[in-house]
Amino acid sequence: MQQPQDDEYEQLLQFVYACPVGLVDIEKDGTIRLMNPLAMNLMMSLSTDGMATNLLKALQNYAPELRSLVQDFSAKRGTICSNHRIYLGPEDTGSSDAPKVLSCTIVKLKDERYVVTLADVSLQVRQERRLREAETWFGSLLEGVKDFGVASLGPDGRINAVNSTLSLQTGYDESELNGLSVEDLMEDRPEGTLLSTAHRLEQARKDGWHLDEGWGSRQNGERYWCQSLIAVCVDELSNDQRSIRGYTVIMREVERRDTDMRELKKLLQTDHLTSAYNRGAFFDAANREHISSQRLGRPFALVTFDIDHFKLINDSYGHGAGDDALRTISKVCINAVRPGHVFARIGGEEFAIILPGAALEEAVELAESLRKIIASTAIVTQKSTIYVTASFGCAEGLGAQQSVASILADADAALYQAKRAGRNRTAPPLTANETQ
Amino acid sequence: MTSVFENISGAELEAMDDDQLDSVEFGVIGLDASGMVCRYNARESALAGLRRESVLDCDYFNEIAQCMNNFLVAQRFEDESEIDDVIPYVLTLRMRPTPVRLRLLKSSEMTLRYILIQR
Repeated sequence: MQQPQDDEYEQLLQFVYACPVGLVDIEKDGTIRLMNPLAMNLMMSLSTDGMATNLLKALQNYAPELRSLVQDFSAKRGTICSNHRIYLGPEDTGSSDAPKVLSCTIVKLKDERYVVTLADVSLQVRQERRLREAETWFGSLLEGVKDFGVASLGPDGRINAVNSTLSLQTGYDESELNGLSVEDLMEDRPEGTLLSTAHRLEQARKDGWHLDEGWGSRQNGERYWCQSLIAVCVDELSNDQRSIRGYTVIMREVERRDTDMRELKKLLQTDHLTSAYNRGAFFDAANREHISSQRLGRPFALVTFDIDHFKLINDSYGHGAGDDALRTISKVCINAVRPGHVFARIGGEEFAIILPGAALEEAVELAESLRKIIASTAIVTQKSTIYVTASFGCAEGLGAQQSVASILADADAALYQAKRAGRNRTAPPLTANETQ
Repeated sequence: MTSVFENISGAELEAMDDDQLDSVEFGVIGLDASGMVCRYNARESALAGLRRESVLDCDYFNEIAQCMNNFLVAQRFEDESEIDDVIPYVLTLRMRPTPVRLRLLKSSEMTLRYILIQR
């Protein structure tokens, strides 16, 4: 080895070593030729083992569409995708600063030469989502609303003053409302998407405000769809010192179905091919369920499944047939899961279901029934009708003891067992007394 | 060679002068508590393609080796008071993904923290 002589070469190296964006140079099949340290660091947060040799393979489980985008791009050169979002995992994985969302740009320079940039945009994505919600909310604030219920809360989060609309809206008189928390005015929903007031106040302290929507509960037990905004009231003591005087809460009654927020959410949450929830929405829902399972001390279960020999379907019948299979299977599963279950496509041919409040046995039963439905479903493709099978893994989590990531890892480990045991089966299996 | 990489003690490393450090067959990086590069041997210089004088006083995990700025390496130096561990790793030396073995050394007996790199 010799000391590098060339100053410019060394400066170039230092520049790419320190570059705050991941840079990768790949071949058409994803083989990595060159990459800088940050790209390697980002790739290490992917749950792929061993050498970083193939970028498309490493991203396969997170953004399966990248491979087809690259393979199907027929122009001699050009931008294949720009700032394409890759959702890596739930927000509670390992250390808190591990990336959750990557932004990926791929440019084709010539055959067998592609330049890829990767950047961690987790924080930005979170802020964007909150801003979008706020925009929608404020945008529709003046439409079709009767009036606003307003309450002021002390620093302890308890109501200390209300307007007359809030009394009318909730059915409690002013003296009854004093001392209550916002939570007391909301229905405790079994599917548990209600966030605790403490959590909402914490968010409000962090960002200045917090928005939520859910069933409000009137004094007479009636429910109504309620959007609520909590804003922080601060006293500026000096330039960088402030004290929290309390909070203002606006609660308004809205029509549940036709809000812009629902439409927008659906668009953001759905996988375009299968109409199942997408990976990002899956982790959002899993995190919400995790929080409420902690709060309510109840379990929740996850089922993951993977279509057996999916590559073979693509290879023998073409990618179109693979897409037909994904669409058909999603459709029968969406019809088969219960209301409250979340059915999502979380990888190329991998799906997952969240069962709020369910224990392991219920998850295994659901998996078994889906397995039978899939095996007996005819998939009509352009050329022929085919049948496929799937392997299932189930796991249960209980509140604080486990993170979403570790429950998902348990389900994936069970799925792997099912594959190894010969596919078209569920792990863990149904126990004897459940088998009919 | 392997045995020196695995067996050399922190005290022996610290006692070496720059010439001695340059004579070992593996890369050696010595960092202070804030992550600044204080020692950098010839082998590491050749592997990374950077001269010692360009690297000294650099913020190692942010300017030179972002691929180690994670819970496997940089975070461990923050979290653990004593480390002597060998781990398999992949570095991007001169932009090429390269499998290596890292030995991480930190001890209350030593003034610096060390990363040894064996290709």
